[in-house]
Parts: sequence; C-alpha cells; structure tokens
Amino acid sequence: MRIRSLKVDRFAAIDGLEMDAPEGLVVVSGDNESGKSSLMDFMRTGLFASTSKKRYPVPSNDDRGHLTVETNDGLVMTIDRKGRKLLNRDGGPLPADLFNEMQLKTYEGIFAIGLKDLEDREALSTERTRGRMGIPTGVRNLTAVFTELEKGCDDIMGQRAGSGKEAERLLSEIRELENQISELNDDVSRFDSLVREREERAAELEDIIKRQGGEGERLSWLRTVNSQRDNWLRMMECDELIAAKEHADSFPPDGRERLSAARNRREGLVDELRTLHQHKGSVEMKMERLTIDPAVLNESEDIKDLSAQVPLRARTLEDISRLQAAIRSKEEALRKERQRLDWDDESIMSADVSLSLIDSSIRTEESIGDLRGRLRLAEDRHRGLEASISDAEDAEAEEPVPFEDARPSLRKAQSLLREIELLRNRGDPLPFSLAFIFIGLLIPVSVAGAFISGIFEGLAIAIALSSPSPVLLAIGLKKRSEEKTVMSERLTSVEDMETSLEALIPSDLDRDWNGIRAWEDREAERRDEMQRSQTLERIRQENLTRLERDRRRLDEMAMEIDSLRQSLGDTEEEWEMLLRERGWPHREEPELVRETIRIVTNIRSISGEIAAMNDELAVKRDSVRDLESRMVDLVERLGIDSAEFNHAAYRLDEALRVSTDSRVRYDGFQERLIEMNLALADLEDSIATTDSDIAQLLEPYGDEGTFLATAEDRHQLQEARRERDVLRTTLMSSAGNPDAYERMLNTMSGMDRNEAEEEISALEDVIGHLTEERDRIQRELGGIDDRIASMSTDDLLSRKRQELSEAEASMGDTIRRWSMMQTARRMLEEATAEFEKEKQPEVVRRAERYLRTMTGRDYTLMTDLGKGTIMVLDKDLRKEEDMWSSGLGDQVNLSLRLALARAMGNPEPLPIILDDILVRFDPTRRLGAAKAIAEVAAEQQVLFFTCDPAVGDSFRRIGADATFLRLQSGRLLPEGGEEVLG
Amino acid sequence: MGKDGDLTFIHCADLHLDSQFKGLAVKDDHWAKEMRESTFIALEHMVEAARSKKVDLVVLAGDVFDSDERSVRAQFRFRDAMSRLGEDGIPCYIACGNHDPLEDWKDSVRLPENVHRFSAAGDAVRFRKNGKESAHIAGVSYPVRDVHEDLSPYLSPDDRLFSIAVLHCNVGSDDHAPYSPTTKEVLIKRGFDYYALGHVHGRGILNERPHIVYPGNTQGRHVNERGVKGCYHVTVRGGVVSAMEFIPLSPFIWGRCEVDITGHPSLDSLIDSTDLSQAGNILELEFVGRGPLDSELRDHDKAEDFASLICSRSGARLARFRVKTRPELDLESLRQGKDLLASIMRTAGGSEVDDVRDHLKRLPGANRFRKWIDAIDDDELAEIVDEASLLLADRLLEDRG
Repeated sequence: MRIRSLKVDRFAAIDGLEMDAPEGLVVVSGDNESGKSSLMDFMRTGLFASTSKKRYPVPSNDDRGHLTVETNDGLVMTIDRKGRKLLNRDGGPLPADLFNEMQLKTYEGIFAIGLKDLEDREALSTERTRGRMGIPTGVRNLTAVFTELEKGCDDIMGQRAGSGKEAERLLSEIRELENQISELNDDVSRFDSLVREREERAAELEDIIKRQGGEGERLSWLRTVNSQRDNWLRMMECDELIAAKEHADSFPPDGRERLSAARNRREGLVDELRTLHQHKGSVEMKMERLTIDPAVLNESEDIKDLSAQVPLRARTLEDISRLQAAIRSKEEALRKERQRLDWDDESIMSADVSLSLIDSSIRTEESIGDLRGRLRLAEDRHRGLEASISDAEDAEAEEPVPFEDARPSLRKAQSLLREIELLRNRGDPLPFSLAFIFIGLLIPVSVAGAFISGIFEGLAIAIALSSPSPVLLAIGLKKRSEEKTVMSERLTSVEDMETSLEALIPSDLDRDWNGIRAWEDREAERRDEMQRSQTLERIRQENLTRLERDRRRLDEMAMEIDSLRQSLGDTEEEWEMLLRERGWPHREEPELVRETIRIVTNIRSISGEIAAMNDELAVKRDSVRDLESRMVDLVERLGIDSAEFNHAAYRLDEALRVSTDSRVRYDGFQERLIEMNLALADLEDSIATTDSDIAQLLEPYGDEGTFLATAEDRHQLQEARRERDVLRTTLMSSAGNPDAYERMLNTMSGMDRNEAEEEISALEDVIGHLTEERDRIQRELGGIDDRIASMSTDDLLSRKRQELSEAEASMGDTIRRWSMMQTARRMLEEATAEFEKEKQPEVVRRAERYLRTMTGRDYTLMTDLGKGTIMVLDKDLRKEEDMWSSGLGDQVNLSLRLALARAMGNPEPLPIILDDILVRFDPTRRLGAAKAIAEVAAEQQVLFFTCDPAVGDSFRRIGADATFLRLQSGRLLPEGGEEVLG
Repeated sequence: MGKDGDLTFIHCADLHLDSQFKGLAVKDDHWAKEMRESTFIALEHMVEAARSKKVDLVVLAGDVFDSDERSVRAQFRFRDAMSRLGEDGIPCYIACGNHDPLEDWKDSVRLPENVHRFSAAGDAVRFRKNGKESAHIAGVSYPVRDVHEDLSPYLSPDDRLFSIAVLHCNVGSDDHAPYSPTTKEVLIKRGFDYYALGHVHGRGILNERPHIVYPGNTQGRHVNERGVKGCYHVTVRGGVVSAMEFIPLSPFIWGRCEVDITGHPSLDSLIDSTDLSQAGNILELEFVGRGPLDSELRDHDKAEDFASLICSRSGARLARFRVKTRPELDLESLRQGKDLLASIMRTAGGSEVDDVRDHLKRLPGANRFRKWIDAIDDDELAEIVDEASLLLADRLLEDRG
C-alpha cells in the first residue's frame, strides 16, 4: 500500500495543504513548527482510522480533508475525513481493515515513528513482535527454568544426602548387599560342611555306643549271673526235696480235698434233713388251719355266673331308665308334631305321603295359583280399562280456538307508520322561487335608483341593465307554483296512509309506535295461546284413539276372565279328587305339602320308635327280674342272710373266693408234703452213699492220720516242683536262650560271687568313661543341630535380598526421574541453541543487516532466548541492552523496526512514516541509516520528515532515489523550487 | 476297555520359595516381613488344601526354589511342608525345573519318604490307592539349568491306568524362556491323560482330554504376575478328569491400576472417587488423563505421597507409580507454533532414544549409573522423552495459568 495523494483542511496547524505522494522514498524537510509532525499524524490517522484526543483537538464535523491510498492490487481508496470520522468514499474498507488486525500501539511503534517512539521499546514487546523476533512469548524466563531443572537433577541425586551422595550411598549399600548375598549364599555350602561334620560326629558316637555296648554286655551278663545266683541255689534245693518226697507222687492229687468234700457234703446233708423235717411240720400245721365250705364250692358255677351278671344288671337298669326317658322325650316330640297337624290318627297312619305327591301338589297348586293370579290380573286390568274408558268418556271435548295470523297487517302498519314519519319529517321544500322573485324585483329598483342618482348616463344602459328582471320574475313565479303542488300532494298521501293505518291497527290501540309495540305483544300472547290449544287438540285426538283400543281390549279381557275361571274351577276340582283318593283329609297349600309330609312321616317314625323302645324295655325288665329271682334262690340255699341284691351278691362272691382260695392252698400243701417225703428219703440215701465214699478213700492208708500225712508230702513235692520250674524260667529268661542258660549255669558253677563282683566293678569304670565320651559327642551334635536349625529359620538372607530388590527398584526409578530431568534440560538447551544460532528469525537477520549498514560494523544481532531480549554480538563480545550507547540503541531499535515493518507489512506492505529519527546519529551512521532507509524504500513507501537539512543531504549524498519536498507556510514545495502541489 | 482310576490330586508348580518381590520402588517397611513370608504362606496354603481335601497325591512341576536364591530356610520350610503331607499319607511327586535343577538340590536337607523326585532320565511310579493301582505318574527333572531339548519323549504312559506326566516345559509361549520347548500337539500324541506342567507363570488349561495344564506360580512377585495365584485340585473318576478346581494360594495379589485425573479439580476429589480395593494388595499406579492435576503430579514427591495415600486407603501397598497424565493445554497446537516451546515439543517428537541414552551416559557422573541407564528399555526411554517435554511445557507455561 502506498499513499497516492492527500488533502489536509484544518488539521492542527495545516489548512488547505494538498500533496501527490510518489512511490519510494519521499523526504520532506521543514523548519520547526512548519507542520511536519501534524502532516505525519494526519497520514497515520487516515491510515489507521484513529485519532487521539490528547494529541489532536477534536475536529468539528465540517472539517474536511482526504487521503488517497493505493493497495498493491491497484485498489484505490479515498478516505474522507469528517470531524473524527473517516469514511471510504466508495463505501469500501478503511486501510486499517487490511492491516491484519494490527494493534494501534504496534502500528504507531513500527510504521509511524518519531524520535520518542524510537526509544520506546514497548512496541517491540508485544507478543506479536516478540514472536517475530523469535523471543518466546507467554513463557517464563528460560533461565529460571534452566535453574529449576538443574536443581531438580541435583535434588533427585541428592534427596537425602546432598547432590550425588544418595546414589553413591545406594551404590555402596548395594555392593554391601551383594557381598552379603554372596556370603549368605555360601551359607548353603557352610551348611553342607556342617552336615558332614555332624555325620562324622554321629559315626564317632555310634562307635562309642558300639564299644559301650560290648563292655556293657559283659557287665550286664555278670550282673545277671550274680543276680540269679540265689535263684540257682534255691533251684538245687528244690531238686533235693523232690527226690525225698517222690513216694507221695501216687497219692491222688485231690485225695485230701475229696475226703474233706465228702465230710462236708455229709454234714450238709444232715443239716438239710433236719431242716426238711421242720418244714414238713410247719406245712402240716397250716393245712390244719385252712377252712373250706363245700356247699359254696358246689354252687360255685352259679355264684360265678351270678357275680358276672351283677354289672350287667346295673347296666340293664341304667338302660331301662334311659329308655324310659327316651320314650318320654319321643312322646313329647310326637305331641308337638301332632299339635302342628290337625289330622286325625287314621289319616296320619293311612294317608299317602309319598314324595310323588309333592311334585303333583306343587305343580297343581302352582297351576291354580297361576290361574288365580292371571284371573286377578285380568280382573284388575278389566276394572282399570273400565275406569279409563269412563274417564275418557267423561272428558269434555274442547274445540280448538280459531286463530287468524295478524303478522302481515302488523308489518304493513309498521311500514305505513315509518313512511308517514318520513314524509312528515321531510319538511317544506326550500323557497327558491322567492329568491328569483326578489332578485327580479331588486334589479329594476336598483337600476332606477342608480339612474336617478346619476351613476350612469343613458337610459339605454338602464334598460339594458334591467332586462333580466322579467325572466327572473317569470321563473320565480313558476317555481313557486311547483312548490305548492308538491306540498299538497305530500299532505294527501299522509292522510291516505293514516286512514289505512287506522283500518289496520285495532281500535283500542294508539296509531303510533306505542300502539304498534302493544299490538306486537298482544300478537305474541295470542300465538302462545294458539300453540297451547293445538297441543291440547293433539292430546285429545290421541285419547280418543286409545279409548277405542281400550274398549276392544276390555271385551277381550272379559272373555279371557271367563276362560280362566273355568280352568281354575276344573283344576281345583281335579285336585280335590286326587287328594281324596290319597286319603288326605283336606287340601294343603303347596308350600305346606312338603312340610305336612315331613310331619306325617316324622310322627309315624316317632310312633314306631316308641313302640320299639317299649318292647326293648319289657325285655330288659324281664331279664332283671329273672336275675333277681335266681339270687333269692341261691341266697336261700346257702343260708346267707341278706335282703339287698348287691350285698347278697358281694357276700356270695366273698364266700366263694375264700373257699376257692383255701382249697387251692390245701392242694398246694398236699403236693409239698409229698415232695418233702420224697426229699427226706433221698437225703437219707445220700448220707449213706457219702459214708461209703469216705470209707473207700481211707481204705489204702489204714487210717485218716496216715492218709493226711501222705497228702502233705505230696503237697510239698508239688510245691518244690513248681518253684523249681519258676526258677528255671527266671534263669532262662535272664540268660535269654537255652545256650546262654547253660552258659550261665556253667558260669555260676565256675565263678563265685566275689570274682564276679570284681569284674563288674572294672567294667563299670570302662563304661562310665565311654558314656562321658558319648555325651560330649552328643553335645557337639546338638550344637551342630542348633546351628542348622538356626540357619533354617534365619531370614536375614531373604530380608537382605528383598531390601536389595527394593533398593534396585528405587534406584531404577530414581535414575528414570534423573534421566527425565536431564533429557528435559538437554531438550531445552538444544532448542534454545538452535534458536539462537540457526533459527534466528528473518526479522532479526534483516535487522542485523540494516544495523550493519547503519553502523558499518560487523555486528551480529541475536535473540537471547534465556532472557527474552535482543542482544548485540560485537565479535565475541555480547552487548546486552544495558551496555548499548543511546546511539547504538537508536540504531538497533530502528533496524528492528524497519525489519519488523517489512515483516509485518504482509500481505499489504504499509507506508513507513519517519519523523526526525536520525538526530542522534553521528554523520557516518546517519549516512548508513540513510542507506538502510533507502533500501527499505525500494520495497515499500517511506515518508521521511526532517527539520535538519543535513539529514536531507545525507539521502542526497548516498544517491538515494528520493523525492525531496520542503514544507513551508503550510505549502509543500519541491526542495529548492516552486510549489509542487496545491 | 476304559482306564481305571479314581483319585484326586493337587497340581502345583513354580513355588519359587523365598524369592524376592521385584519392582517395589516405593519404600514401605510395614509390609516387609509379610512379603518375605509370602511364598512360604502360599506353600502352607497348598499343604492345608491337600490335607483338608484329603487328596491322594500332590505333583509339583518344577521351580520349587530359585536356584540363585535357594536359602537353607527355604529348604527346611519345604521339607517341613512335605513332612506334613507325609503325616496324612499324601505322596508328593516333584519334577525339577530350570530354577531348581537336580544339581542344585542339596542332599543335606533330606526330604521325607513321601516325596519322590523324578530323575533326569525320566522315571515313573504307580500310585496305589486302597491296595489297587490307580495312577501312573511319570516325570523328568532338569539335570542342569539350561535344558533346551523337549523332555516329553522321556516319558511314557501306561495304557491301563490314568497317566500323569509331570514336566517343566514351555508349550508355545513366547513370554517365557524357551526351556524344554514343546507343543500341544506333541504332548497330545504322547498319550498321557494329564500333563501337569510348570514354568509358565500364568495359569491356563491348554487342552482338555488329555488335559494340558499350567497352574501358574503360587505367588506373583512383580507387577507382570498380576492377579490371584494358586494351584489346581484335580478330580479323576473312572480314569477321566471329572473336575478341575482352582485353589487360590497367594497372600499377595499384584495389580496395575490407572487413575484418571480427567475432570478432577483437586487431589481430594480424585482420592474420594478412587477405590482400588478390588485391584489387589500390591499396586502399580498409572496416573492418566488430562486436567489441572497434571501440574501437581509433575512434582515427584507430591505424586508419591498421593499415590501412597490412594493405596493405603484401599488397604494396599504401593509398588511404584507412573505419571502419564497430560496437561489441559492443546499440545498439538503448541507443537504447530513457531516459538521455542513449539521447537521443544517438536524436538521431543523427533528424539532418537539411542541419542538420548548416549547423552545420559555421557553426562558427568553418569558412569556410575550406566547399568541402570542401560536397563531402561527403548519404550520407557521414549516415555521419558515425552514426560520431559511435558515437564518443560508445564514449567515454561507456569505463569500463563
């Protein structure tokens, strides 16, 4: 975009200035206050569509001026200025709309700058400009991030013990753990050697035990021999005794017992015999005391039978009482049933009460009932019809009221009345005729008056002037006649209509609207009356029709009643006959037939039951009487004195029980006496047999003393033999086997007690020594076992391994975090370095070129990403902003602005307006700056304002392709010549 | 004619007694003792299960111990456990694996009579139940650690009896070392009724009739051995496997959980809505999602405290944690920018992990950590680069709010 022309009216100090701006560089010089800055402001105001109250007075609405710009695409826009407003004359966009949403601050700081703007770094600090300069935007100071990352890495490595120490500690711990693992793994080998040692010890122990066993065996043998020596001696004594008593060997083994037993048996038998005799005497005494009545025993069957019948009699008596009560109850029931039925006994017993009667009776009675009902209904209806017919006949036949419709007359009367009123209201016609007559008269009078007065001269004129008068008079008179005719006709019409109206409206009513309304009301009432009359007539006609019909039905009904009466009579007669045939004394109502049958049946049943009970009662009474008579006979026969049946029965029973019991016991005693006699005989035989046995036992030995001595010898012999066997068994058991037994006997016979004791003592010493040795080895084994057990429960190795595993995992994690931090740091370094050295944005590179042009030095311009600033590299010397001179600062800032103006003028390169920005440049750098500006102007329009002729000369000196203008007295003149425009 | 055999047995493998838990990067002494005991507790549970279920026999398919870590304690504890099985008359058949080859078994701790350890040449025993032969059990042990031949041909079934092969081998798993590699098809052809396998730590029934079964190990020892671990209780009726019941044995259950920060404005809110009680009792947490908490979690100490708190509230121990969250920033648009941050983000995207590793190794003092730097695999290193770029974004934009 470039500015093609402008016209400024009343803007600050400028009024009426016009200018055509060429492309490329335009250098405008002018003295102070010649309006350079105002012109520049006008341009940027027009371009950016903004004014500032502070800097510019508010223009009035009629302020004028315009700015014509041309875009790269050839679009020409003329921006009219009216007061504060800027308007595109063609209605298109304003230039600022093409500035890619650039902010005013950026525009004013980059594209339209004065000396103060040059110093202001704010415009270079927007996100947009910083971004273009490659300075990170919206991020924190990178140095802080670097510091943070470094600290993070150090923290990770030295969380507990300072930088790097923790890792070393971990490493050393891990190494230690690994050593422990190695050592503990050796435990398995150590364990194996322990087990081997244990086995050696165990073998040693076994050897000792074996040796101990050998000596112990001998010791044990000798101890056994000595302990058994007494037994051996006793055994030999037994052998001697056996040899001495052998003669008694033939004595029966149980001889003494048998003798003793025989004697005991005999004593027992004698005692038994004595006791039996005592018992026999006792039984005989008891037999004597027993009493038996033979008469009672003879009658025992009868007594038993009678006794058996005693309870039966009581029950029979109870039955009799119950039967009597039942009969009374039944008789009461019978009496009640009889009370409910007024039949005679014969009818009750003989009448047919079969159930078939129920159906026929119900059917017949229903039929009779039905017939009676129908008859009653028919009679009622007949009576009703008669009454209805009578009422209908009595009703007076009212004729309907005649009626004439008065509505047409009413409507006609209304119409007439309305017409009369219309005619009356019309009024008299306007009297135009009188006006004609008046004017017709007025004209000659006036002419005559004027003639007389001498207003005009000449009679002819007077006549001429009076000539219309007769015509007007004629017309007036004719019109007057017509008016009178109309009035007369209207009057006649009204009278005719009033006559007609009078004829129409009833005489008692007024001939006005009140009368009409009264007439209407009356007509409405009459119409209602007429409708009522018509309704009554319709009802009357219907009644007459119904009367006719009722009369016909009355006749039919009378015939039906006769027929029903006939049927009823027949049925009743038929039914009466049937009942007589069946023996019913009289007819019952249908609902009573079933009940009557039930009562009759019940009476018959109760009568039967009473008869049966009376029969049973007689039988029971007979049986009681029979029993009692038997009792009387028996009591008399046995002489028992008792009048009362039950008491007599008890006495009989008691007598029979006593006699029977005594008889049984007597028989028992008899049997026992027989048995006792037999037992006495047996006992006596047994005593004799025992005496014989004793004699037989004693016979070989002569007498009882010898017999008993021999028995004692045999006993001793047996005891000696038993003892000898026990001793032998003991010795054999001690020795262990027959060979050892023999060896033991030999040892005992070959070595005396003292010799053995001496050897035992020597052996005990040897064994004590061996035992001590064994205990020692066993203790050692216990120690080894303890160590093995301790190793088997010790989880140190396991614990250490777990610790190692956790330490490794933790270390891995730590290294991972450290790696992440280091990677982050490296990424940041790499990205920063790349930015600083290789990826300096186009803007910085271009600014660097301008700076080099301006300064003539090999400065390098760089973005310091760490601080987010621009710095100058003077060979290897980094010059940050605070190290710049004010001149270098201006040059850097101008370079950056020119570069930014180039970069930001995309897609539309904007004109750059510079206002005396080179005043702090030394002459050399001013030339350099002029070169740079001229280079920029080759690509986009630059409007350069200056008050210093030397500055303008600088552009000339470098041979810049520029247009030089001079602003003087509000006019633009070519430098050194005439006014170029305006 | 069908095979005879009614029996029940427990198939267990890979006890790895007294081996250590790996990957516990967060220190927590509270759990230490229980964790050291865990492999033994699993063994005790197995023995109790065998006794309470009155099984006829137990088969152990290798790796009872870790060869590197075989402690005397472990051997005694194992011997005691076997003795308790013996008290109930339950025999135990062991095939040794790569972690406990025959050469590593010390005769010093003698195993009780009820334990039969298969030879390296393979052997078989007939199991008698109530005086009648009920099963044919064949097995083979690793003589040394490295056995890369298929051992299954060493074993032969008995056609008359229910035949069990006890093997420590790798059936078609790429995740485990290829010790004694074989295939399902090869095993099926061998003609056994039940292949009691060990070596693969994840349980699985690879085939039924014949059954080819991995019970898995008895206690997970790192986060890749997640879930409940245990053994199988097998019931055989009429020579056919009629029931397989899995019996959990492991006192510790590893879990890996994602904790999503998305939508949570504060750590309290996240804690309140996080319940990991069903996930296990040793947990590795991964913070994921996008939100304002991302920045807080970039502080390692704070993240660790927070992760520990979440775990302890769920009654679990924190093993380690990873922060894989994203800030609320639109990273893609940051990457598309022209400023330094964009350059950093792009640099992160283009970083070669080998370069990063070399750089880390070259750093002053890094020599000491070379082993651990090498231990970081490429994927993790890529994650580290990503995390680093996020950290930078977070730090550089801290003031932006």
